[in-house]
Amino acid sequence: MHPGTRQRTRSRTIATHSAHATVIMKRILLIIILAISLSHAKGQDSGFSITGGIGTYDLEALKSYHELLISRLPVEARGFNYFPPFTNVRMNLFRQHTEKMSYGLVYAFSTTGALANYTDYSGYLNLDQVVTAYQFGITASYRLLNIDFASTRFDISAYGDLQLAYVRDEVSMVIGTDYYYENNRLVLRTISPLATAGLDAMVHFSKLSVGVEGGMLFDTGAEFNAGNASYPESAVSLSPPSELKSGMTGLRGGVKVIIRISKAMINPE
Amino acid sequence: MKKAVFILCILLFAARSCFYVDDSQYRVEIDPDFDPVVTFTSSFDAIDSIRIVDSVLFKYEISIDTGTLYYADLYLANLHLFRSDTLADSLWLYPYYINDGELYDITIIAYFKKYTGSLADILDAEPYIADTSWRVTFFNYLK
Repeated sequence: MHPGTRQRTRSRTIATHSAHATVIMKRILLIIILAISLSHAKGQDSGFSITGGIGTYDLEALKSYHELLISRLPVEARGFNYFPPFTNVRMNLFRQHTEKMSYGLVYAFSTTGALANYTDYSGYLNLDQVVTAYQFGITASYRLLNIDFASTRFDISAYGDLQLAYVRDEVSMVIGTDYYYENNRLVLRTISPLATAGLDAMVHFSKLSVGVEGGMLFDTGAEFNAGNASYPESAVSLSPPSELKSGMTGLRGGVKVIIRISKAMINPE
Repeated sequence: MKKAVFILCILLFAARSCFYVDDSQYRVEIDPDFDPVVTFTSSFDAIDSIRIVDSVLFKYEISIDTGTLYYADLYLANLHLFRSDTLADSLWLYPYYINDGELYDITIIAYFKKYTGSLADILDAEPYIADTSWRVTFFNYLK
């Protein structure tokens, strides 16, 4: 056997197992989402929460890809905004199952990016990579601490999400000079299972609650598809390395607002 | 309220990219003032008063000391005769194509690369121009 054959076979086996696990997880999530959507809501309190904040992003593979792209450029560009902590929004439609526990559907949106630029008297080159994750899934929350004071209530809850993320990575390179213009774009896509765990601390008023929320998101890292560049004759190839994976893993935090349909569960006494 | 929530949802679902607060540029200063010496020589150089009565072969040569020729255009007055990407080329001129006894300029415009190291130069998209011309009188012997 050729020395490389065993390694190749092993890599293929790991990739196959990973893809199989991803498919199973996606099916389980879909079944749970459907079950929650169709469940009977009568007699239960419900509400809607929105959290706006910031997230950090691991994106190890996409960072390496960005460095690879910079190394391919015909000039020495400098990177700015290297996948900084950026926008994260989480929305949750929930039902209060018991006084302490709620469950529901969750949608979250995370985005960040990287930019490299070169400019001289003759023109400019912009290399832009934007990664965005649209996350749909289920969520459950459990109240850990409750303090009543006056007409309000303060509590701390732990929550967990299971999500499927549609992750979209768009790479664009624009070169502009007097006699040469190029706008090349490559879009990579994948669907990746995610899990989030965190805490929120809320002050509850009548129908409105405000507070903060923070947690950790873990991305299982699905492999991006191989996209097609919009301009194949480009001066610079945008083609990604093989097995480029999403990596939205990172901390998430923000300000949270809850709007309750019924206030019965806020002051059950 | 419903409208505001609807707009918020649209924004959240439709938004697909981050935006950059830091719109920095990495500006590289390159001094493009260096001009290579471009010289043109032709078969008409040795003639003081160029009069063409019969067909004649016009030969020219371009030399650029530290540059590379992209291409050269040859004009008779405003008429584009041909384009060549070689440093030396030639063309037969026939006087009966044009008005008898009139003065014309034969002009060569050379587009060349001078290796400034700029982005456009690296992409071969920064043509510099040098030109010269010869004044020629044509006599149409057929008239």
